[in-house]
Amino acid sequence: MPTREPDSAPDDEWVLVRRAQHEDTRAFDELVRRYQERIYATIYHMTSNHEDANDLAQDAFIKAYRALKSFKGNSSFYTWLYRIAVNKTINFLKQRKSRVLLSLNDMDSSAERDPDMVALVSHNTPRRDLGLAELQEKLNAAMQKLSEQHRMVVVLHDIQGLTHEEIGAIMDCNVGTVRSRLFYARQELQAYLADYIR
Amino acid sequence: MDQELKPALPVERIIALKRYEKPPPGYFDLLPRRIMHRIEQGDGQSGFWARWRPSFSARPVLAISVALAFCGALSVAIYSPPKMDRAVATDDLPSQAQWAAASLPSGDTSPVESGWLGSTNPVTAPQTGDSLFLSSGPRAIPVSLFQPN
Repeated sequence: MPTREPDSAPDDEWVLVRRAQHEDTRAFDELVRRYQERIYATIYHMTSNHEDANDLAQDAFIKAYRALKSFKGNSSFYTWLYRIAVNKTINFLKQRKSRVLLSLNDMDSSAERDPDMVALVSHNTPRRDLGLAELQEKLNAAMQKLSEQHRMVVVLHDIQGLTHEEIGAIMDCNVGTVRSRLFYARQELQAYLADYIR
Repeated sequence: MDQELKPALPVERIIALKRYEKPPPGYFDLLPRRIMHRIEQGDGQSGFWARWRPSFSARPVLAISVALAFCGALSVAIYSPPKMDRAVATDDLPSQAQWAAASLPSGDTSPVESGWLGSTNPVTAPQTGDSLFLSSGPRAIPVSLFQPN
């Protein structure tokens, strides 16, 4: 299962948010450092393009800073921040529909020791010679075939490790919708990656 | 069951391997600096273009409509004749008495010299003979290419 960073102390976070709301840029810098990896990764896995993810992550944080005064604390800061990033990414993907240019990050070498990776390459699959680069390309190509909503649920649940409830809050839909999207998205992925599953 | 037909891994566990994709080393040291630099430069302030650009990009028809409307308004502003305010224009005209007085041969100054009538004649000689202005209202003055006798 994907690992998930432990939630930071909410009190400490709320203090930082309040300071950032009063234009304390050092407090906002601390919030950026705290969430940048998760926000970047979400956008990257949605776009499969490092440059786009870099631009969109910056834009999302800047938009969050500008909109911070309107944040009332009805949800956690991180849910609110995720929502900004998700909306920005989905809008971007709707505009770029005609061009899908993959610009993939390197896979960490520790992937080769991951038990799932070991199982995948050692199992009697038709693709025993599967390499990391090929797997990465196939995974990303399969992900790009999903609709934005389905892809987002897969990214947030299967890669980021968020719960259905958290995803529902971020995507502004109920848990049933999240489960349903996840089910159909996995079915589609299973079809695209059939060679690697059997 | 044949070993080759057994599922190797559920699809969600294969997809989860994507978490090993990492940006270049040091990227997460640079990203906050770039963000804070852009914030300090005032980037992301909401302006007209920033607000409308996403809508224009998503809906080209809207962009074309706005562009056509803008061009139309610009053309009207450039090519339509300047509208004269009727009241102001009437106020600027000399009264009937002024017309008559200015046109009299015994007058001290001609309409041209008095400053409210233009002339194509570089020699601003007082007009002689019957006045054209004795008729009931202001009218167009015929322009002659010949010198008056």
